[in-house]
Amino acid sequence: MKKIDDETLMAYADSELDEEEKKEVELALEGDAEGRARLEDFKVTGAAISHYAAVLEEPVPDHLEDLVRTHQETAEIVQFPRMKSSRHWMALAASLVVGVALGSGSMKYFSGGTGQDETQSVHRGASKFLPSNVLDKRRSEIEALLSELPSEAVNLKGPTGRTQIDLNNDAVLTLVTSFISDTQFKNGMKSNCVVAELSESGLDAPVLFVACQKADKTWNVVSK
Amino acid sequence: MMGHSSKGNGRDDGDLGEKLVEALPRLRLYAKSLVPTFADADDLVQKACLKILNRPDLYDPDKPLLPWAITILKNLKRDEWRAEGRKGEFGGPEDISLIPDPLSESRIESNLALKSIDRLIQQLPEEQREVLVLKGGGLKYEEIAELLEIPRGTVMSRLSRARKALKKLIDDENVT
Repeated sequence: MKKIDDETLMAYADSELDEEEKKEVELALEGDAEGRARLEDFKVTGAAISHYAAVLEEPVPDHLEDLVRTHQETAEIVQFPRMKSSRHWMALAASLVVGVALGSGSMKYFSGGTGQDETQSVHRGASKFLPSNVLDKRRSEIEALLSELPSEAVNLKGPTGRTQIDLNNDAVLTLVTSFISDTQFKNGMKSNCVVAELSESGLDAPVLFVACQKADKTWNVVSK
Repeated sequence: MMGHSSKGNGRDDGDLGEKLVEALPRLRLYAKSLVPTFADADDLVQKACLKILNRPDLYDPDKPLLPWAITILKNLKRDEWRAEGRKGEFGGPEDISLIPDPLSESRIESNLALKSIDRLIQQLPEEQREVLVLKGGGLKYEEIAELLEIPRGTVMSRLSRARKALKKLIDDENVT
């Protein structure tokens, strides 16, 4: 009798065969002790790996879900003409900040005098530049600034507690939400973290990132 | 001019957020196949989420989110691995080491059966770890094939080889 291949035996052990295939395997195994032993091995490993189901059963950590949900709640669309100069960008940044602060839904921005009618739709958060470069340049400034803030300022209650802080050269830092993380630093300490947005001239839209407070109370931009 | 959805947004980004929230459990499961601890897996998922949320323009709403998110996760892991090779350290924010986080221990890592099988699986190559972990989560061969964007037959041959290697590790463990 032809030896049953491993994959068929594994599929039998995993209940991935249809009725007809199952019967064929059972028939073939009747006189095949070696095949039955291999089937047993697949059952053993199947049971061993099934413990990973616990990962899907446990709730997703709050900070991961908050990160996504918060972004979703604050997401909105702006339409504006393709801009070249930083002056135009500043006007956009100003309107963006006001729009967000007022909690308005979607809004439009039209800049006069660019000589271009081409409009593009840019989602807040969709940057044309690599966020990491922008963030890296501001990293130390942001980290120093966060360390100076009183602790109340960085403990926000949900997405409504947006705080805006001006940075050098017309950049704006917006604190979106805060959370306690037990994964950012592996020293067994819980750390305060904030989700923040950086708006800067040259950026079509803000960059979203996470910063966390270390045990010595200084802050660290942890995502890039 | 952009077409407008019922929400008045040119781009239905609320959808991306919803889909990402839905994808989180499986994304966490998959991430675990790439890194040694569950805390590392969550760090990696967080980075992938930020990347996706910062660049929603890269998302193709006509395609399923999870395989794309998995590709992002893999690339992030590869970037970290490269950084690790250069700097001789894990590419995290600071004192990231492979010391298990006691807070995570109290959650998923208190599952001793999972922990002991996870320790064995660490010894297998990534190609085998990813199919083992996804299968272990209860996914069907077809679902694993879709997530990893490989044929069902490839999933089966990898998984069968992985299970044979794992059985050997389990036997070695029991003998010693």
